[in-house]
Amino acid sequence: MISYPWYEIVDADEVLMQGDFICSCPVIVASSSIGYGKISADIFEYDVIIMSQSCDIAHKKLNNILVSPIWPISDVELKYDFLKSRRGKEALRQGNLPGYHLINRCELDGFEADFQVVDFRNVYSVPLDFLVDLSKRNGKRLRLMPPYREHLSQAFARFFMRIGLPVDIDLFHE
Amino acid sequence: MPTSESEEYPHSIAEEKLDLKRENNRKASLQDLMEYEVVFQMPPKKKYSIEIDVINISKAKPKIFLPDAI
Repeated sequence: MISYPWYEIVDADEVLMQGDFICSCPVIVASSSIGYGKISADIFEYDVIIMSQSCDIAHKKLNNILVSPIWPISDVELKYDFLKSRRGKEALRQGNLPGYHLINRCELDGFEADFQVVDFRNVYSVPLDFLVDLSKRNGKRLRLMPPYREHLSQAFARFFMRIGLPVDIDLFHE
Repeated sequence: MPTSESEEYPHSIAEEKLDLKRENNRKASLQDLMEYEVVFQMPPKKKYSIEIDVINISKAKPKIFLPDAI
């Protein structure tokens, strides 16, 4: 029987791909007024997963890479009660929480992780060269495998293209 | 000879229970199918401030890639 593993570990110098995990990726948020000279800026660090298409990255057709923050489900549960419930987790698993995507546990040595939640609502774009450099410094990294990678990408597309109707059709009642 | 309720009406009781179970399952699966408008904000893993020395500000230039076929 063919097994379809969710993850593989790749070397630091492998080309970045969609579905690669980058630990502690800094995002710079500059103060509201930007001018010449010294300004203060906040750095937010997130564990992220690459959302940009692999072929765009490989052919350097992007200056910036789109990344989504990820969190262990246990961290999200602490912040949001709904996800403690079976119904909440089931809704997440079935893809009924637009904006969020569940990925499986990882049991690979050195990369053990619980279920993780990908946040599509707060995506960031990080300069490609910077991300390449950071990933090399971080060492080996985890990569989401097909078809789970494409499933993630599709979930993002579904979230991004959704349309809220100003006047929806009423619920059907029995 | 006394008989139990289920022996007297074996079919109806079993059917009722099954119907109830089916109804509960149906309700549960309908709830699972609902789309939830859930939004939560997670704090970053780490946050700190830095000072940046801005040495250049310029208007970005487009970087356009035409499809290979054109």
